[in-house]
Formats: sequence, C-alpha cells, structure tokens
Amino acid sequence: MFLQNLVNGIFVGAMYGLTASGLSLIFGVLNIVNFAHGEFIMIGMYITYFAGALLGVNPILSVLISVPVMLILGVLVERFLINRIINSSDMAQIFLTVGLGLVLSNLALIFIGGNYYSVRVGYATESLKLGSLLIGKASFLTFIVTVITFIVVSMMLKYTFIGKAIRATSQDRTTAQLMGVNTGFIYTVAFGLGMVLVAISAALLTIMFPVYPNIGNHFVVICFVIVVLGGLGSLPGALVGGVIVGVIEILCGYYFSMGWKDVVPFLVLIICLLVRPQGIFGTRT
Amino acid sequence: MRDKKVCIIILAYTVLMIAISLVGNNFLLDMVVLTGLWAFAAQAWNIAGGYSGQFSLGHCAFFGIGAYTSSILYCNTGLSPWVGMLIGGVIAAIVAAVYSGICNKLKGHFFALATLALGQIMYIASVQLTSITKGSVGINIPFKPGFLNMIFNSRATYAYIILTFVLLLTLFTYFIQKSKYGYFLYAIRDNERAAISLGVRGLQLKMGSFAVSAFFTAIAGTFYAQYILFIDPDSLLVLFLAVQMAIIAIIGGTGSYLGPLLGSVILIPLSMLLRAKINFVSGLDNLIYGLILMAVVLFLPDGLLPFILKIFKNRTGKKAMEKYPKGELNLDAKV
Repeated sequence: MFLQNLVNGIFVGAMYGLTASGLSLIFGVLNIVNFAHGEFIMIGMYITYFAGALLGVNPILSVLISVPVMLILGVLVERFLINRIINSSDMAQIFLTVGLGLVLSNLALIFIGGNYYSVRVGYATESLKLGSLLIGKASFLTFIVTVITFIVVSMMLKYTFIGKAIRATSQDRTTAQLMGVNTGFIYTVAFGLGMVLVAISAALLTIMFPVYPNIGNHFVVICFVIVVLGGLGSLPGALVGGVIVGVIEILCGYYFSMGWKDVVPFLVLIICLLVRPQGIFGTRT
Repeated sequence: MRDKKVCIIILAYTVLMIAISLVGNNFLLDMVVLTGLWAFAAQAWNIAGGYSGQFSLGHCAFFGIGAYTSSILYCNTGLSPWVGMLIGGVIAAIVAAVYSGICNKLKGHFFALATLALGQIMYIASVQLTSITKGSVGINIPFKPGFLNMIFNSRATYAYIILTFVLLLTLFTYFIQKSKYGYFLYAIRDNERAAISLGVRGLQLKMGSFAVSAFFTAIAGTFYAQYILFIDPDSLLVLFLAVQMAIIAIIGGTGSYLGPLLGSVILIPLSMLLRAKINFVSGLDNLIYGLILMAVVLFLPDGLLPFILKIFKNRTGKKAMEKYPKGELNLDAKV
C-alpha cells in the first residue's frame, strides 16, 4: 500500500510540477511572481473544455489550439502590462498581477458563468495493472506527456540559441544585456513560453478536474509551494518540488487525515522559506 | 487641539455623525457601515503594508481570528464581544508578531507568499476544527440586542460605532506617522539595511507594526461578526478578503493615514451600487476592483490621494492639468 501511495504521489506530483513550471520560468527570467498564474491555468482549462465540447477535440490534442492562444495571450500581457512594471517597486509588481487575476477570473464568471464543467474521457476511470500496482490510465497518460514536455523544454533551454539567451538573462540580466542579448525580447519570449507550459498542463488538468472561474486559486497556492521548494526559476526544481509535494500530500492524506493534508504544503512552504529560501535547486542571489 | 489636521478630522467625524442621525434609509446606512468597516480594515493593513513595507496577503487570518475568538467566547460563555474583541486582538497580535519575526528575512514577493500561506492554514484549520469552529457550517450568533452583546436593532448604532473606531484608528495612525516611529517605519520600507545601519531597530519595529496591524484587523473581524451575525470560513478566511484590504489601501494611497479612507469611500459604495443595481451580472464589482487596481498600479503608483491632492492644492499640478486638458497628462513620466 505504501508503494501504491508513493506511485500515486509521483504521478500527481509530476503534474503539479508541470503546472508550476511556467510560474517558475517566468520568475526566473523576469523576477516577478505571477499572482495571476492560477487564472491563466483556468483560461487554458476552459479552452481545452470548449475544444472538446464544441469541436469534439480530445483533451490531449486540444493543446494544438490552446498553445497558440495562450502564447499570444502571454505575449500581449507581457508587452502591455508586465513590461511596464519590470523595474517598479515590489508593491506594483505584486498587485498588478493580483489585479490581473481578479479581472480574468471575474471575466470568466461574467461571460461563462459559475457552473462546473468537466470533460468526459473514456479512459478516466480505467486503470492498468502492474504487478500489485494499480495505475489510472489518465494519470499514466498525463505523466508521459509531462515527462516529454519537461525533456523538450529543457533541451530547448540548453541547446538552442534562444534557450541560452533565456538562461543568460535569468542568471544575470545586466551582463546578458552587455553581451548583446535583447533582454526586452527575452522577457516576452520567456513569458510566452511560460504560457505554453500553462496551456499544456491545463489540458492535462482538465482530464481530472472540473473547470470553474475560481479553479485557479486551488492550484496556484500549490504552485507557489512547489516553485519555492524547488527554487524559483529552476525547471528541474519545479519537477522535483512537484513530486515532493505530491508524495507528501498523498501520504499525509492516507496516514493522517484527508482534511488536514492540505495544510502540509503550506507548512513545507514556511519551513522551506525559513531554512532554504532559495529552494533545493536555486542559487542565492 | 492646536493641530489643524486633527481639528479637520474631528470636524468631519462630527458632521458625519450628525448626518447619520438624519438618514433613515437602510441601504444608505448599510453602505456607511461597510464603508467604515473596510476603511478601518484597510487602515489597519496600511500600518503593515504601507508604512513598514510588509505586503501581506494573509490579513484575512487576523480578521478571522478576531471574528472567531469573540464569537466563540460569546456563544459558549456569554462573554461580552467588547471583551472578546480585545482578547481576539491580542491573540492576533501575538500570532502576527511571531510570524513577522519568523519571516523577518523575507522580502517583497516572498513575504507576500509566506503570509498567503498563513491565511490558507487558518482557513483549513477553521474548516477542520469542527468541535470549536463548527467547520464549514459556520457559527450563527443569536440575535439578542443590547449594548453589552454588541448587537443593535438599528443600523445607525453600528454606523456610530464603526465611525468612532475609524476616527480613533485614524488619529492613532496620524500620530504614529508624525512621530519618530513613522519615520523609522518609512526608513525600513525604503531601505531596510541602511535604516538598520543607522540605528533603527528593524526587527522590533517590523514585528511591532505587523502586530499592531493584526490587532486592529482582528477588531474589524469582531465588528463584522457582530454586524452580520454569521461567520464561516468561506466568508472570512478567503484570499479575496486579504486582497480587498490591500486593494483599498493601495488605490487610496499607501503610507498615508488618509489613503485607506479615500480608497474605501470610493470603492465600497461603488461595488455596493453595482451589486444592487446590476445584480444580473455577478462578478462585475470584483472585475471593476481589478481594473481600478491595475490602472492605479500602472499609472498612479502612489495611489489616488497624492493625485487628488495635487489637483486641488498644488498650483503646479493645476497648471499641468490645464496644460494637458484632455487626459494627455503623461502620468508615468516619472517612473
């Protein structure tokens, strides 16, 4: 039973990690905590839901629609909003994204309504048997997609020119600029890439969770915990942090109580902020 | 009372009190009470967020502690909420001082994240500790009017009380702002290391201002519980409540004793009217909150108060407005 819980925790955690990776990337490059992250997840989930409900597109394939849409949205938000406060005070940075989150979630409430929508896929309730382990087909599928996404994005950051420019900007923006990197453009690219990651993770989340205007609040706090734990700005950190939070959550839910398990991520967050504020993979600045 | 500003504040208070005694409309009175309540809560948030730069997104935790402490004591032991209010305030202040001390090294975004976690922990605790808080069901406070019970038949009485609270807190903030402690707090907000190197006690002052802020937030919580007569985790301990306090203070103007009052006077009647008149579109009031917040952060980072003062008082400001009559004033030029 312990092994089963562990495996479940890893599967859930990897998905959390993917959800948090966009937040982490954006923080790493722009040095801004995007408090509207949850609302972007919500938008991605709605796109996947409506692609399925109106066009009959499979949730996984819906990324073909949601990725371009979220990319454009991300670029617009970065160009017209985030860009203007990139050198402002902490207060401006925190509350601009808080305000954006309020606007997005209430726009969804006004135009789509407060109903819960969920996608029905045939394999959501089926599971694979692996020895004594039971693995849900849906969670197995999301795990595969998560791992592929992580590998592709990591390769991109490591080997392509733009990836190198993103990493350089995230390590030291002034020096990157001196070396001829157009940091303004890199900010936009990084924000757009963050939104792409949000779109993919939102498509996977839609398979397992219903979507409603405030769904973002449910995930965003877990995302904050994960990125602080893994190290803000670190992509592998997001995956590892996600798995740690997922495993802790499932194990606490099983051995303690279902109700209190939600407290654990926050205790982890506080302890982590105190003991190692730069996170597992972060570097002290 | 040689201080001119204090005289003006007290005069405004007296005029408002007389005006309330003439108002019979329940909706208007409700508006006055809620505007006062949120002015009070935002003023309390401002002590931590505006003066010492501790941007908290977890003040709902203190609001909840205040409301739950006084209500539980009143419902179970019959203790007067006036006393419960102070007990709740002290508990919130202790929690806040300890938490601020623990998070001393966290700045800006990280402090906001840590306080957000505090609010969430309190939410889960209040849902789970069903034997004390009755969980998600919430606590109904029995309606027994009386001064000791802090429950009144008339909304005007609530309005008198909350306005008096607002007056006292505003005077308190005003005197803090004028005293050396006000300058210490500004110094910490603007550059903590430099302030400490010049002999300002950074840790003690940050803990102190956060505790004072939490104390008054808890008092606002008790007042809210006694006014609505029903409390549950979903109305008290949600992130939006903490965000709302911050929004009001920021839109009005942080770091000034008049900013939160202005923010509340603008936002609360606006959102109440939207909710009452355009009630077929839910979420419109919060949408407008978000839009105003974004506009203020982008174009008037110091809030509306300095902007309005500039238009009304400062001659150069007036000239600038005349020079660019149709909204062409380049407000973000100084950023």
